[in-house]
Amino acid sequence: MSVLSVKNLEYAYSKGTPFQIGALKGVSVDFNLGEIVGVIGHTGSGKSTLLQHLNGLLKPESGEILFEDENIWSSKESVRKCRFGVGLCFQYPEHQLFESTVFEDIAFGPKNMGLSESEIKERVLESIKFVGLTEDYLNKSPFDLSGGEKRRVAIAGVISMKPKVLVLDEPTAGLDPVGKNDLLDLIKSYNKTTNSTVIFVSHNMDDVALIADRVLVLNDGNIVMNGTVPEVYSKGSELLKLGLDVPEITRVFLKLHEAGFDVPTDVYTVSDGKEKLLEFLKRGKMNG
Amino acid sequence: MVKDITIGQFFPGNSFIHKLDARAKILSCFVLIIFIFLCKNFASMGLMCFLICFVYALTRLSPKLMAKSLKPLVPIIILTSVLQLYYNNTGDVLWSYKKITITDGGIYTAIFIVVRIVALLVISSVLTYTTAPTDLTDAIEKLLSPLKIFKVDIHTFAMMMTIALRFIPTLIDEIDRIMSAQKARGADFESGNLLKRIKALFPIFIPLIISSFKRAFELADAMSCRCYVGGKGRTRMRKMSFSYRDAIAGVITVVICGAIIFMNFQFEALI
Ligand SMILES: Nc1ncnc2c1ncn2[C@@H]1O[C@H](COP(=O)(O)OP(=O)(O)OP(=O)(O)O)[C@@H](O)[C@H]1O
Ligand SMILES: [Mg+2]
Repeated sequence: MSVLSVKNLEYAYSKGTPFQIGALKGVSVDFNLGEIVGVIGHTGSGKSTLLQHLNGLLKPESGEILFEDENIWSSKESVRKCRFGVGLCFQYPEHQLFESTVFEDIAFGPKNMGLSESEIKERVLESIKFVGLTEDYLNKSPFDLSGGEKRRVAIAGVISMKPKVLVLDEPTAGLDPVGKNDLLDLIKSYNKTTNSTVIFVSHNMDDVALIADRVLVLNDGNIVMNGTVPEVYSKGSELLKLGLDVPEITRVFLKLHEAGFDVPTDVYTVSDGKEKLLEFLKRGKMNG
Repeated sequence: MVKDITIGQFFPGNSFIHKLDARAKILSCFVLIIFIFLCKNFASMGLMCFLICFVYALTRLSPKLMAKSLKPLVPIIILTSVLQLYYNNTGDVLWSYKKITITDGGIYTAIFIVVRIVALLVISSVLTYTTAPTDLTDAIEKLLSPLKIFKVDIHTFAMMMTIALRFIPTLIDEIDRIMSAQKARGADFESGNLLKRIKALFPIFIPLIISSFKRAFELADAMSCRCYVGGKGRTRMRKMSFSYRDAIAGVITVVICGAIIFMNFQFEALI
């Protein structure tokens, strides 16, 4: 069942000035309940622009966005409903934080939802724990945090609204490898525990392969590929043409295959790769 | 909507106006602004408007751009002219009801106020739309350099002006960013009565001021990192030079100003 669908979306920035840029040129896509969708595409392909349409931050020039089968721009209530139902985490966390303390910042969404004081507090504590920070952070200024901590606070500020659709713009950019894996686990567990839809942008093909059920590929304001991880990643040469690449582990297997080893080439995650490699070695031993 | 305000922005181009020397542009702009206030009747104001439209057309920028930039200011302009209508009671009384009297003098003033504000905004936008900020500082510095004999620090002054101009679009972006961040989490700027909407604006200004300070410190650091120590001993990479275009612009400005003075004497002054 689709919770959020985009129909023939078109958008241009700086309309009417000499700087006009067509950022989206007729995008149509459906997002289903409970799935994790990875969005990839080279710099400037329109990923962030698409994401900002999903919760009504940008208003489409033509086309529509349906949240739970209702056009989000059909009335003021529907826009509000969509703002709480679709939680958007910005590409740069600094762009999202504005309150004087971390507590106030995380509480901003729940406050606007009109929740009671005690419930707001509960949600703030729950969210900060969820993103893996301690309660000591609650009284700090969000501007005094490190980049990774800001990112976590920004995500906490969004999940405190318990959105049905969680939209994240490059959530793993600028994190250390451990922090990155933690964050991916966190996204996955939010998706599992709440049965919500997660849509995230990443420049890292490995991250997408690791957690996404489906991959969207954007190029120059158009969706050029839309399918499961194996469907999209098996078209390595096409991805290269779009300025993208396949995961590193896939490249290793492709090279092995080229070198004459009888290994599969549809390997997209490291854990899968390990198994395939062990299998191959075992077979080798039996034959030799 | 805040994003539509383009005052202070620079739109690179190749038109006649873009190619004028920045000093010539500033001087003509300054003279025309003075003469906008000297237009006393429809003939001279009409001539001024014609000139301004002609100049804007020469920039080859889209009229939509200017219109969009003026749009957010429409309420202020209308308010000013309505106040004129109400307070100015010179001339013949046309209509009166209780305390409100409308006179023909009031109507003329109201019309002239609207035309003047729009003319001012257009002519000053032409200057900033078509002049690169660096050229603008250099020109201000050159034009004010005679004041150096009074020991005025012209360079710092010019630098301050440019930074201020340069940061108008940045501040507008910043407001837009903060509003987006708040909207994304359900802040409501569009519904409710006027009081509620004004109240919703307060949470924007506090982060705006904080981030402006941060930005100012960062800019100061960036400038000192590149060894900026003020005007002393700085040389120019580009020399400014006047060309035949500047002569044409100067002549046109002088001729139009002469014509406006002539028309002021020729026809009855309305305000
Ligand atoms: N605020 C803006 N004003 C004008 N143009 C913009 C603005 N934001 C984006 N653009 C332009 O729109 C196009 C799409 O931008 P978008 O931010 O959606 O790209 P992206 O795919 O998210 O890129 P990245 O991977 O670098 O984040 C780009 O050409 C960009 O220059
Ligand atoms: Mg982006």
